[in-house]
This record gives sequence, structure tokens and C-alpha cells, in this order.
Amino acid sequence: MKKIEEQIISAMRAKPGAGFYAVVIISLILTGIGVYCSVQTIYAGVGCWGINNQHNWGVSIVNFVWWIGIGHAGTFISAVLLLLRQNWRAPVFRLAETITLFSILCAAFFPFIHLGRHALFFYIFPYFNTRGIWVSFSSPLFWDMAAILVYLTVSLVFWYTELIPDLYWLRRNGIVRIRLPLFRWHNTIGQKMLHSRFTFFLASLATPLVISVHSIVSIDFAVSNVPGWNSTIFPPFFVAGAVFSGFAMVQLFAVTARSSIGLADVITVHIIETMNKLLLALSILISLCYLTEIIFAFLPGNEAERVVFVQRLSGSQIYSFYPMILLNSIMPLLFWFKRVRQSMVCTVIISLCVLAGMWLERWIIVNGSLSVGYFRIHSVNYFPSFIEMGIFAGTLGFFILMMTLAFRFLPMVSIYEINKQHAN
Amino acid sequence: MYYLSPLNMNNRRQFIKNLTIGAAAGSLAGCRQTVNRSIPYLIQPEEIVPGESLHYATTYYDGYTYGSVMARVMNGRPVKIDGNSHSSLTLGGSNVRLQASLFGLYQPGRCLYPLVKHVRAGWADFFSQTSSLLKQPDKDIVLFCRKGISPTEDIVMNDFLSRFPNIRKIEYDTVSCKSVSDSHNQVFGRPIQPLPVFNQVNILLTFSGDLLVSSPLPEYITRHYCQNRTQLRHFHFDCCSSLTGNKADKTFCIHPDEERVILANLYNYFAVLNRMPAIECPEHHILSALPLADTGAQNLLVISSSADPEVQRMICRINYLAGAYSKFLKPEYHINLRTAQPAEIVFSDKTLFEQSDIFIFYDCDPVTDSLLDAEEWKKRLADKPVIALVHENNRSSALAGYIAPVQHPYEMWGDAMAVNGFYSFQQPLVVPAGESVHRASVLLSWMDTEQDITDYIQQTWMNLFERTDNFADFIAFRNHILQNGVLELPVLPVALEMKETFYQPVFNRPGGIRINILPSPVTGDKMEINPFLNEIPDPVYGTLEKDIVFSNHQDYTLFKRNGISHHHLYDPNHASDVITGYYASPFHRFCVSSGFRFTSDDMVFSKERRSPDRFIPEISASMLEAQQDYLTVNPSHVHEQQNWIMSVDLHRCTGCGACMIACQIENNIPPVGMTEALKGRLMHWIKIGKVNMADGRRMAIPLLCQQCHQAPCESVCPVAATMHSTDGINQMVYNRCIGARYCNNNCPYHARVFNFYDYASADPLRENDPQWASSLQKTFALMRNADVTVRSKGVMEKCNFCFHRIHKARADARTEGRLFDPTDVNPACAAACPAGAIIFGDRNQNDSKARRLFESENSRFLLAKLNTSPSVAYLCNSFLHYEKD
Repeated sequence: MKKIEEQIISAMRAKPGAGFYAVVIISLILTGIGVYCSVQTIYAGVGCWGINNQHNWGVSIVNFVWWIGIGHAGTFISAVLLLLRQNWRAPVFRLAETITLFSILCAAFFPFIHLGRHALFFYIFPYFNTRGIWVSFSSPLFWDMAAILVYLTVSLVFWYTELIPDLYWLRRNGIVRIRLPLFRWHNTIGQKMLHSRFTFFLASLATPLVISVHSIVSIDFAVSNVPGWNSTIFPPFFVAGAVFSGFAMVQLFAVTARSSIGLADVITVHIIETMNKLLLALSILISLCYLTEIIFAFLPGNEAERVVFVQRLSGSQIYSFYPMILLNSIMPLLFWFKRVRQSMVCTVIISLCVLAGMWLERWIIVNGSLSVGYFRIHSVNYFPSFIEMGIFAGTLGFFILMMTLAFRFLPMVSIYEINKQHAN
Repeated sequence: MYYLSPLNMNNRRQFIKNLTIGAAAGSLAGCRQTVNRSIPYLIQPEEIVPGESLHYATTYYDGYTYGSVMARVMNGRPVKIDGNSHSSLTLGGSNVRLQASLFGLYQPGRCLYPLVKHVRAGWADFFSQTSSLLKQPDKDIVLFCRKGISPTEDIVMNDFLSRFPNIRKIEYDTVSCKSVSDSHNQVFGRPIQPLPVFNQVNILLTFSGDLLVSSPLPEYITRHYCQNRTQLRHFHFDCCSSLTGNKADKTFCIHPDEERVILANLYNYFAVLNRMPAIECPEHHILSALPLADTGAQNLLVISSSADPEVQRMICRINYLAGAYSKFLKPEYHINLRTAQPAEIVFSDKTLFEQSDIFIFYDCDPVTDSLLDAEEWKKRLADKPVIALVHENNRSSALAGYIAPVQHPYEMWGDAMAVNGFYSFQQPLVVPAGESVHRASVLLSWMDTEQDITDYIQQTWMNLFERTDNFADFIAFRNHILQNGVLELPVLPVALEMKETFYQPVFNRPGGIRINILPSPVTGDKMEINPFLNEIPDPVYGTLEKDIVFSNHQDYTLFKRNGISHHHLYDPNHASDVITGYYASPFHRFCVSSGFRFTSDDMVFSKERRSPDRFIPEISASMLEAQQDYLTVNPSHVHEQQNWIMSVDLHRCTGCGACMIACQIENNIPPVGMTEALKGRLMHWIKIGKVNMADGRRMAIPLLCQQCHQAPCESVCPVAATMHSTDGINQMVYNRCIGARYCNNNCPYHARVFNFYDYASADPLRENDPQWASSLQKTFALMRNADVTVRSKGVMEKCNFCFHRIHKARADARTEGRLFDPTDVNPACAAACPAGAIIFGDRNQNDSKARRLFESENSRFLLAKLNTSPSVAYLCNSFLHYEKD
């Protein structure tokens, strides 16, 4: 037990190596590119993107859904697994929650930057009706905004509540990197009991959010008329996909934490293997969704949707559809083998595959459906411009930067929880 | 306790806090909106009421496009051109080029001041220098001009030529129908181009060329063709696809050389009937496909726009033998348009340039029209003096030493006689730009006469007045013709007698590749710098590229010769061994410079990565469905006053695109520039689509916002920027729009368009460079309709059934104290349609034509199964052929 605490303390005390600075500089450069591209977008207009009147939404919406999806694993691990008393989650839930927090920030940026008139983004909030303008509550975009804000708030509160005992512990051990309020935490028995009850309360609050947030994101698509979007399977399909990609991201950072800051004894192979099993299960679930979607499309009655799926299976979309099947449905099947499940290299590779595959899935949903529609008004195809991809690179850079700084300045493994478990 | 005081800077934190607050407050206080002041008139002109529009009848003629038009003038600026409903030649219809002609008036390239050797000079300077040039009797002077149709200008020109006998006038036409008048001269001894009428025509055979959009009077032809469409059977013979071919009952794909053979066979058919000697010709199988025997070959009319004199000669004889001249072709109403020598022939004569010493360009652009390079012209002109009378700077004026700015057709007085007996009149709509003068008055100044051009015009009109007897005095006559813009005088009937008894055409089939050049259905005889026309996709093929050729060569290929390549489009309905290109396109210029000599070895078909993009929506016939009653979750809207609907007769629509530009100019829709257009960001609120029918034919369909009663776009807007009005229109509140673009995704018709950039203040001619504030912006702003908002960057927009016109009609009714009559309202697209295909009206009005058509059994709704309950009905007869059972 002492050993784990020492490991964490030594990890926090260690001087950052060249790798740390390299990652920070690279992510700063990426963030800079993103800032430049965002400023360009706001200054010139979304015309500097590749979108047109047939493809009104482009990779910004793909990125939005992708980031929101990645955020889901955090809540899943911290809330759902807490309620299910899955104790193996203790060393990774802080990591997962931090991922959640920053990925929601990245995700929330995209609906803003894709607007035509950025300065008026606040019209979407139900603010005081002084202008005689009120939001349309029937629009899924409004629900979307509400869902993201609720999710961000609950995640932040949850994250910080769990962080307070650790910050106290660090301060007691003389490691104060950033001064954050502790709200008079003194680690008393009464406080510990209250803390435990409050986290359970927050977990029960956050658990429905795991389902609802991505369901609402999927409803953005599902309530529309567009063939390929208008599908009742979307809410569960999106939630499964979200947790899937989120776990892949957590795996990536868990393995990084093991190797880079020497937490191999804390984040054990058992934990990695358990999460790999979950990835495998989710991959099979996702494949089932793909199959169901295809079968639905070929049921008689919906010609337009069939056209969309014919494009995916044998038309213009095959260059993204079959890679997606390979990355999402076939590669994770390697986790049936125990050696693959326990191999860190394989975990990283397959997690990267899943992340890329899930991005492709959203690309197919957004672009593959819009480019077919009921009819085309012109034959110009959509291809993202440098500016659009630059903004995506910027959010990636921001995310990596924030995660790196979090690794440096915050206890990325919950000492409090681990101690509690050992005490039990 | 903190004090927020600038003096309280006793520590570093407080100093930074105060500094930040100060900087923020300072920058906020510095933000100020720019104020554009509008200044009222110092002396209010009597007839101008701000916001009220005046209508003036006038005439537009630029050498290719002619139209008697009714212009709407707002605050002294013409803002909209429509066909003149008083004219029997247009019947209120117009075409793309007439609609877009306003751009010529406002375009920044207008020539404003006289230039002598590229230096601004006064008129006195200009005349003193040019007169001394002209008054050299030993010099041979050539005056180039387009075919003139103005009686007054003809008189001025004749006076001018008799005053200067050393000046030779050379009239030319770009797309010439001279072969028609020449053949009439050969066959009947009269060089005329008769006006066709389609009443009682049973069989119409059209050969090569787009009769409905590229003939000299397209509005007239379209209107009469559509009126009589149900009773005539139309067969079209051409080597390529065309709008006329799309309207025909059956289109035969023939090689251009087959035209002579088919016509010779047809001639023999009638020759046998009339006991005339037949001509020797090879047999052709197509003739048996025509229902000549069923109808007894009665009431047949053959029309071709071919430049081949043999073809035209045979057509004259066929029409004569079929009796068409007494019924369908009126020799007394002969068309004066496009009867001059074709430019290609005029400018192929190099000796003309060698023998002449001075050149005058009389309001024309011979450098562009000749299809030769500017380098070639420089070589030919060899630094000889050139005097150019131009209303806009062009390639010719760039070569001229003396430039006289003349008025645009919308700035000058004048008259025109496009068809014998049909006069139309010109009056200025706006104060002339800069120091420009009437082009004929430049001639008068050179003649040193006391008379002004208005005296000549007065004299011509007096002569016309003497030929009428309906008017009390000349003032009443003048007011009448200026109000109506037209005057139709009776003409003596002419009977044609066939002079030549026998004629043997030559049949040859040269090998190699044939080049088929036809005028573009949109831009006509030139690839002009008109952003409105440039952005109309080709109505036949849907491409936007100017440099494009069509053939039936498969794969995505590029036509290549000597390193020069042109975009190539595969057309399955194209004849083999023929390449079609548009008049004045780079391909045509290339052909002219290489002398039209091609063999198959010259053509290298190489794989291109992609074929040119197409910008017309293609929909399948199954998407047009009869309306069904579905259960609706939402309560349907109640429309107590009006419920606006539109019925579009697909049997009438030719797909010419006049509605697109009419809508664009009426609603201040900015052109986006070619770069943006090729990205698929065209802003047209109404688009011409194509319905692909089961038998392979393609029908034009105007696609606009369907003004759904259960609109998918309304429910998804997060800020309630689009909603249903009380009279059934799906409104768009531009102020509220934040540009999330969900509405356009959810619109199954893709009726909405988005302002991706600040198009309204961008410069489409310079490809929307970052330097957006340009000279064009200033002139474009003058062209805008003051009744319609200009949309900014990041706003979605769409058709609103010309809501401002409805609003205006309501306000007018209120001021005049009468009940509002829904038939007073006509949207811009419906007003512009030459075919009368768009019928707008109120569904609550029991006797309205629109309602009758909307509720008829022929009405179909686009994607009716989605239950959007559209307000636009498409009338089509279950896609039956026109053939009667």
C-alpha cells in the first residue's frame, strides 16, 4: 500500500523529461494551428470550409460527435461502474473523468465554430426575452445545447468532488503545484462518509446522462428527414459507439500512464485486460447495430434509405465504409486472444484503430447521408478544407496539452479511493 | 475591502486588475457601429417618390438579343427588366439575357469619358482629332457594326455614309440566319426570314439547333409553341441534346451530314404528292418513323437553324410544297434580326484590313465577335487609327486610339423594328453614365449638321404617326407609343412564288470529325463577363465551365490537340464523330484559329480524374407523386385570408432559366463568382432541375421552396428563424438566423441556400478576393431592389413567393380603399416565364386559375410521401407522351 502512494508521489515529484516538453510543444503548435483556423473561420465565414449547399454539415459535426463520444467513457467508468461496485475502476476513473472533461470542452467548440454567425451564438440559450426572440424548443439543436451544458456541469462537479481528498493529501505531503480550493476538507470521518454518499448521489445523477447525452446527439440526426439519418436505432447505437470510443481513449492514456510516469503497478495488467474485454463486447454490440441498420434499410418501403446504404456498401462511400468495418468490427475481435488482451502494444494499436474507426463512422453518417439525400442538387462532392481539419487538429492539440498538464499537476490516480479500497 | 479606484494601486495584483478593467472598458467604449447617412433630395424630383417604383416601356437590342421590355425604376435607378406584355412578339415573356441585361448598365467597366490615345479628353478634343481623320478623302475607312434594326439609325447611317463616300459600312452578325434569307432569295426571289406561327400546325419537324432558346425571337417562339403544344406532334433531329429536343415527342440523333439526306427524302415525298420531279438521293430510314401518312402530311412545318445553305434551300421547297407559306410562315412578317453576314466570314477576309486605312467600331466588339486573338488583330490593324464607339470597355476598345463613350440601350432614345410592321421604342430609364452620348449623335457630330438625334427620331415617329389613324394628334400618339413601348402597323400581304423549278443538292460525307457549333442557350453569342449569366448552369448539360465540349465518347476524357485541352462531357444522346461546342467558347476560338480541320488522329482522349460537375438537380419521375392524405400529428395551419399556391405546368416549361435570373435580380440574390459556384454554392432560389423519365427523355422542372404546410425546416431551427405565415408562406427571418444550417439539411428539396461568405458585398468578377470592397460593390448596390433585404454572411435564405410583392399589393389596396385582390400579385419567376408555365394564386379564391390547376387530377407533388404538404404543384399528364391515342 505504501508502495503505491510512494509511486504516485515520486511520479508527481519527478522532473519533467524531454518527452514532456516535446509533447507540450507539439500540442501547443497544434493548438496554434487550431486557433489560427478558428480565427480565419470567424473572420472570413464558414465559406473557407469545404461545405456547400448539398453538404451543409461537414467534419465539424463529425468531430463534435466524436469528441462527445470520447467523453462518455469517463462517466461510464466513474458513475455506472461505481454504482455497480466494480472496484477495479479505482486506478483509472480519475484519468477517464479528466478525459471526459476536456473532450466535452473540445466537442462544445464545434457547434459554436460551425455557425454562420458566431457572434449570435447566444441566441440558442433561453435567455431573458428582452428582444422578443425566444428559442424554438422543438429543435434538437436546442436539446443538444442543454444536454451538453448539463453533462459538462455534472462531469465537472463529479470530477472535482473526487479530486478534493487527493488535493488535500498532496498538500499534506507538501506537493502543491496549483492552489485549488479544498472547501474546508480535513479528512474527518464525517466528511469521508458525506463524501461517499455525495459521490453515490452524483453517480446516480450522471448515470442517466451517459444514456441521454449521446441519445440527444443522435436525435439531432434521427428526427431529421435525411435518408440515412432518419432511423430509430440511432440513440442506442450512438451510446454504444460513444462508450466504445471513450474506452479506447482511456486505454490509450492508461497505457501511456503506465509507461511514461511509472504507474505500472497501480494501473495493472488486469485493469487493462478488463477494459479490453469491455471493448470487445462493445465492438460486437456496434457490429450488431451496423447489421441491424443494413437490414432495416433493405426492408421494403424506404427506397431513399436503401439508396444511401447501396452507396455505402457498393457505391461512393465504400472507401470509408469498409475501412470502418475493419477498424471497428474486425480489429477488436483480436481481443478474443488472451495474449492480445494483455499486450500493451496491441492495446494501443487496437485503441487507435477504434478511435479512427469511430471517426469514420460519424463521417459516413454525416457525409454519406447528406451526399445522397432524396436527390442531389449538384454533383460537387464534399471534401474538408485545410481550415476545417486545422480546427480538428487544434482541438486534438488542446486535448493532449490539457491531459499532459493534468498528468503533471494533478494526481491522475485517486489515492483516496485506492486507500479506501485497501482499508476495506 | 477593495476599492475600485485608479488610485488604489498599492500592490501588483490590484494594479493588474485595474489595468485589465481599464483596458476592457476602453476597448468597449471604442467600439462604435459605422453610421451610413442617407441624405434626402435637396430638390425633390416631381415624379420620384422614395420607395415607389415607376414602369417604363423600352427596348433592348445588343445585336443578338432583342426584346421589347418593361423596366421597373426605383428612385431613378432601373432595378428590374420584364417582358412587355403589350408586345405581340414577347407577350410579357423574357429570356435569360434580357433579364441579366441590367448588369451591362451598372457594370464597373462602363466607358465614361472620351479617350484619345488612352488619355481622358473632352468631346471637343475628341471630335477635332477624329474629324480631321475622317475628312481625308483619299483614305479608305471601314465602319464595323452589328446588324441594325432601328429605322432612325438607318436613316442617320445612310446620311452619314452619303456625306463620307470613302466610308464602307460592314454589318455583321455573330450567329447569323443569313442562310435562311439567302435561300428564300434563291427559291422565291425575296431575301426574307419569315416569322413562323404554330396555330394549327400538326407536325413540326425541327432540325439542328435549339429553336426554343436560340432562335432570333425565343420568347415569341416559346410562347406560341407552348400554346399549341397539345395539338402538334414535334419531331426533333439533331446531333446533340438540346432543350428543344427535350420538349419534342421524339428526338432523332443524326449526324449533321444526314440532315441533307433526310430533307431530300422528305422533299421527294412532297414532290411525288405534287407531281414534281424528285431529286436523286440516298434512302433514309428515319422518314418511315414519321407519321406522314396518318395525317395526310397536312399542316406540316419544317424549321432549321442550320447555316447550311443547301439545307435551308430544301426546307424552303418542302415548306412551299407542304403549303406552309400560306398558313404558318408569314412572308410579310419577316424577321430583321440576324440577317447580316456571319462574323466568321466577314473577318476571315484579311485583304479588307490591308486595303483600309481607318477603322470605326460602331458600338460593337469586333475583336471578340471575330473569335480571333487580340494579337492577330494588332497584326492586322498594323497601327492604323481606330475609332471605337463603346458603352463598355472591351477587347476592341483596348486596341482603339480614339474611344467615344456611348449610351447603353437603357439610357438612350431610339426605336427598333425586329419584325416587319412591329415597331418598338426606346426611352432612357436613367441618366446616362459619365459623358456618354447617343451613338448616332457621334455620327451626326462628324457630319457637322445642325440636327440632333432627337430630331431624326421625331421625324421617324412623325412618319409612323401619319401611317396610323387612331390618334388625335402627334402628342397623343407619342404618349401612346412611349407608354406601351410598341406599335403594330398593318403590312401588305405577300404571296411567294417558287422561282426555281428544279434543284439538285449535293450529298457528300466527308470523313473525320465534324465540329458542331451552336450558341449557348444561356449566354448566346458571347461568353460575356456577366456574373448572372455565368452562374446559370447549362440548361441542357448542367455544367458551369465555359470551355466545354460534348461528344459521345465514353469515359471521363479530355479533348486534346496541340497541347490545348478542353473540358469534355460524355453525352450518350450525342451522334458519333461529332464534337459539339458553344459559340465563342475557347473551343470555338481554337477551331476558328485552326480552320476547323480535324481528324481523329488529332484527338487524344486521355483519362481525366473527374468529369465536369453538374449543377442541375436530377430527380426521378417517381418522386412526383399525387397528394395523399396522411394522418398528421401537428394541427394543420388555418389560412383565413390567403393561402398562396403555385402550379407549374411541366408540359410548358422549356428549362430556359429566365425565372432563375428574374428571381435573382428581384430578390437581390448576389452572384457568387465562378470559384464559389464550382464549389456548389450557387445562390439561386429557383433552380431548373431535370426529371429523368422512363423513356430516357428529360423534362425541365423548376425547383423552388415548396412552401410546405408541414415544413421540415421549421421545426429544426433552434432560434425560430423560419416559421409559417398566416397566408401559407414559409417565412425566413434573416435577423434571427444564426447559420446552423440544419434547416437546409432537413429540407428534402434542398430549396435553401446559404451565404457562406459575405457575398452581398463581395466581387464575383474577381473571384471574391479578400479585397472585397471594390468598384463593383458600389455599382451593384445601385442595382438592388429597395423592397428586399440584403442578406449578410452566415444567413440562410430561400424563396418566399416574392413576399414583398404581396405586401406591396396589400398596401396598395389599402391606400386605394379597395379589397385586396390576390390576382394582383405575380412573383418575379411567373412574370418572367416566356412559356407561361408558372401560375401563382390564392387557394382560398374559388375561381382562381392557380387553384383549379392545383386541385386538378394532373397535379403532382414533389416527394409527396414525406407528407410535407407542399404549396407547389407540378402539372404533368402522368408523363404520357404528347402523342394522342
